[in-house]
Amino acid sequence: MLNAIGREIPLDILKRLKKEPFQGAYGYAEKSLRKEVAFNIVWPGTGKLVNSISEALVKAKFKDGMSISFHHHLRNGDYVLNMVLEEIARMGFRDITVLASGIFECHEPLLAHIQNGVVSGIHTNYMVGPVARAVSAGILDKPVIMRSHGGRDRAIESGELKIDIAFIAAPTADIYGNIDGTEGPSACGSLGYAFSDAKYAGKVIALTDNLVSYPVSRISIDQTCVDYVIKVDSIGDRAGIVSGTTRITRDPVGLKIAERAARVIETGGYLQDGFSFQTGAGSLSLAVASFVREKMREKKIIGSFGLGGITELFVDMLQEGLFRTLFDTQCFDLKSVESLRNNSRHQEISSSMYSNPFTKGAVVNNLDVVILGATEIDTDFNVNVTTGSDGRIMGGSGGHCDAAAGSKLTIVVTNLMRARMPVVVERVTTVNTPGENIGVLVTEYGIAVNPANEDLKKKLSDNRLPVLDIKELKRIAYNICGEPENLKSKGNTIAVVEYRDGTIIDVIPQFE
Amino acid sequence: MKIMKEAMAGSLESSDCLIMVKPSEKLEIEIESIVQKRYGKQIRAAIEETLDEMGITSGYYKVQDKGAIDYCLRARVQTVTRRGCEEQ
Amino acid sequence: MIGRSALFIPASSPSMINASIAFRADTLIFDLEDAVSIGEKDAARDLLDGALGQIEKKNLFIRINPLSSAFWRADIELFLKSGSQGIVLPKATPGDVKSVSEIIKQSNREISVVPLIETARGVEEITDIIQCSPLVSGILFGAEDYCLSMGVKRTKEGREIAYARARLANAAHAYGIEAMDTPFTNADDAEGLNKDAVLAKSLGFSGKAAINPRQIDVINKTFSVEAAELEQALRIIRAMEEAEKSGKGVFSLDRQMIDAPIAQRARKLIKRAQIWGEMSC
Repeated sequence: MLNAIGREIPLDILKRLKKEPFQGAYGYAEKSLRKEVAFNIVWPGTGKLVNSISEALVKAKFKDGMSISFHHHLRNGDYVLNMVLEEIARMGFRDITVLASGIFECHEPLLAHIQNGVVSGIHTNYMVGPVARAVSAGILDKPVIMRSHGGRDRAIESGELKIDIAFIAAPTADIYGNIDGTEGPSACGSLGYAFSDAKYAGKVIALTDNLVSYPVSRISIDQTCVDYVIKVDSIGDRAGIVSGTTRITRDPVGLKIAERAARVIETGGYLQDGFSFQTGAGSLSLAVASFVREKMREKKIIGSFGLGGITELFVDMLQEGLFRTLFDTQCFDLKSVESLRNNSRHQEISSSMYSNPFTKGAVVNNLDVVILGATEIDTDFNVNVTTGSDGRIMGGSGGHCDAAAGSKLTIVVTNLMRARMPVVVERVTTVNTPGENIGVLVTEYGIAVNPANEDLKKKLSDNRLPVLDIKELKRIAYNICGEPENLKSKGNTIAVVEYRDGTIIDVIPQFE
Repeated sequence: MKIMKEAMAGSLESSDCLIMVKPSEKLEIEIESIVQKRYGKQIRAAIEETLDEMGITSGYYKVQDKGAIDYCLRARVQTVTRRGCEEQ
Repeated sequence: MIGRSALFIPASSPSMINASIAFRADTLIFDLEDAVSIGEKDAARDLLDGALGQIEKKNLFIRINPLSSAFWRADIELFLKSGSQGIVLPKATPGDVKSVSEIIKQSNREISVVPLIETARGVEEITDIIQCSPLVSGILFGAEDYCLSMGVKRTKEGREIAYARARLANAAHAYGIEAMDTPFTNADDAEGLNKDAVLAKSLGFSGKAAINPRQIDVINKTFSVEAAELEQALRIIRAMEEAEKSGKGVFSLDRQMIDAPIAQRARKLIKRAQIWGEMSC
């Protein structure tokens, strides 16, 4: 059947997953519940330290068919997921579902576990590299469930997504399970994406390469959540964790787009005291942030908070007094890790607080402006950051649709084309963020404003910003690149894209 | 015009293509493109049309495309063909 | 008209050519000379030939190779075929300008020739260069090669090019053509660019070349007609029209005598504002 934005969702998928089709960004609310969690009491005199992953698995009564969760703060430097699965495979377990908030290049060993039947299902928010390619080629029988950050927390907290064991990659942990992400050889900063796992999993196992005596000096995930602590040699590769390589773009086209986006924010009247702002960590997003910083300086604006994955640029803005606070679910570089450790106005928050739609209010609801990217955007403003133009998975919503739904103004910044591929297209390959939540699209060829936002459109035109109809942008792109051929589906579904509220916004077929 | 020797034109930079040519009895065109699924047909058509316009009926062409648009594909075909036809 | 800003684009790079279309430099100069290596001149011509098929030709210039090279005839052939508005002639001498003008005037369309002045001799011969062809609609100063020919060091402050600048700007005004200043070579130094552009404007240049699209906005802003200037020019023309009606030759506005040169300057300014009035964005 067709959902509210005209995407075909196979009925058997809805039935099998017991899901509803997408009904609009705010159109669906299940009964809001928090899951009851059964757990083992830790009595006085009992320790939590175990010697190995296998010992922990035995103690946790791990068995075939269970679900295990991982968080992605160590990103492409993560050793924990591979380490745990290797042990699970060695012990002969089968039919395991991996609930990982992100899957990266470094998780290639997962492929062998899928082929051997150890892993039979994947749920994730973001997926790149060999696993994403293999999933796109149909390696799994069960479709992968792709969620947003907020959607994952919603699913965990409501009990819809059951975690049997959560594995926490702990840069520093004490022997009683208090965890800090800002110290240790694998320091990654915020552990925001692991909070729901730690609170709602049946068992919680922390792996650390920096075991300290009780208590750690700064507690992120606390001892009341953690069942076992394991000391390992290393939880991650430093170079892959906080690569710190993202820099403001130097590409003149990118800078042009970024400067225009900053002017849209200014012209729209958003740059006032109390301004709140989120950008991604891509080089184009950072360029927008840097133009916004200049405007905030000029106008002597003091913003209320910066949000998101935090980068050096936001830390500088905090220190300069341009923001009163940073809310941080993930640090992208060493400087943000350091800032989180030392600056009390740089606050670690859970991804649920950041983005879960079914709470008493997520931080995205307080956002004025968010800057987001797009792999494709269609003439209804629906955005794809999940699949490439060849139809293969190469990303995922992450917080994309969460921030878009919460923020007063959502700006998508992108080149109109990447080499020969138009970014503005007639129909996106996959929708992860509905067009109703996108306010403005900024490209080097012009700015398109969502027709629902007439006022802003007028303001931008009045200030001589080059406003064009999004269909005109598409026409320009197709004129230059030619009209792209349609991808041919093989008929089977390799992934299901859940909107943050749990409805199905799209499915990803296997393409030829 | 006839391809007499090996030649190369273009680059592997984004939005460009690298074309290599060498003499061959029949006309063979091998195309590898990052946008194969979306523009494969148009790429081949642009290359074949250009060769047709130049009266080329033989030669082995290997095209590595990094998202070149049609004018660039055509230009690279023209350059490489002329280079391959020149006297040594 | 060349306008306020003229952006150089290497004709050898598809990605740069594709990107250039999105920028609003008043003029684009596709470069077949310095930006293209000797072995790639043929490829750049083919590429440009193809690209120009899809680009609006107004305000498009091509910088050909110098007449001392083996490439310029093929370049000019491409230029004539392309329908571009103008040609930029590197290391121009009066003889070069004459030869090129002879060839291109057969095309029977309005073409601009912009000699690039980048030698000590070129600066000295500027009046000859301008006068030897009616197609010369502007001159462009190239300070890097000029300094080489002078054997002096190029500095950011540009004291070493003060004479050349003043001389070229003066000559351009003397013959009523546009004078484009040399590019500012550090694309990361927006403040330096701004200072350099303001200086060039104060010396009488009408615009400035750019080597990076990021420079366009600063240049356009500097060389745009200011709103107050425009308003004053419009007042002068209105006052003059009234004075003419009442048969007065010389008249005064705000207790200042307005004579023919002032009125002419006002007219020029209004025309500039009409053509380049829109801020580039």
